Amino acid sequence: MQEPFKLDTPEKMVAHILQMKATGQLTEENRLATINRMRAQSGDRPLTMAEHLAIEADSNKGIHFYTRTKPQSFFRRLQTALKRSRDVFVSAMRKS
Amino acid sequence: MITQVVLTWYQQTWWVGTKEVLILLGFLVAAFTYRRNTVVRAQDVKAGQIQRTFELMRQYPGETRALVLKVTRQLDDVFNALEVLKAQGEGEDVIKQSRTDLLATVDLIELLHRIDPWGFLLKHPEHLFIDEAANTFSSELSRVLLDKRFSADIDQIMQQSSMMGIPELIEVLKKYEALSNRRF
Repeated sequence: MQEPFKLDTPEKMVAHILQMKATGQLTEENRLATINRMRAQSGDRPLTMAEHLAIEADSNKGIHFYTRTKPQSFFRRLQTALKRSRDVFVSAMRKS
Repeated sequence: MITQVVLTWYQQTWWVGTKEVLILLGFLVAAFTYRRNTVVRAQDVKAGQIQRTFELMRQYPGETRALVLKVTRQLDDVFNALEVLKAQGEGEDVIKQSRTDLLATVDLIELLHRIDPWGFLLKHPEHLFIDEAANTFSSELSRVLLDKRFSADIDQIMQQSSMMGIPELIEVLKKYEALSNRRF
């Protein structure tokens, strides 16, 4: 795929897009190729179509790359598990 | 005579008492030295923090700020072009495709790479004064990084990316944006 030429005004951008639309280049595969070309600038691996669609669905739901839950440390997970088991125990004892 | 004295002086009463005093003094000197070295190391860390913050504040207004403003302007141009396309009655798919295609012509990746190390520094408060550093660039950077219009494409670019400082940077920017909104 050729490098995009420099578009410095909105008019040029619109003309470029209309031309691309006329030649039928506006497809999801081309979009993914553009994204992968941008990713390649920072040396990241190309995305597959399935991943691309999953990320897009997440973005539409408002889940961004910085809002995803981070992996927690061992003691944090242990603390959560203990708290959860204590809650379960307390609720079971209250019921009986 | 001399050998006799040298061989037996440490068995004498006056030396046993002096030895204890000397040992105590040794401990005191060691404790004092340790405390002083700790203070000196803490001062070194603080000096590095001050120097790094100063470097960042001095370095930002030049090239980096120019790049940030350029990218902001380019993003506005892209948005205007998209508005024109919308006004011409193009469909949602065309708009989405055009947004990605036009973003590829913007110097966004270069900017992300330029600011990525700051995220690392912001993650470690002993390296940088976060308030001062964030105050230097937050007002301009949040216009690029927290831009809702292009967040879908930035998500695609940043997915499992090697630029690990950016999420931290965004977190700090969000915090400061919330602070500045609350203040007024």
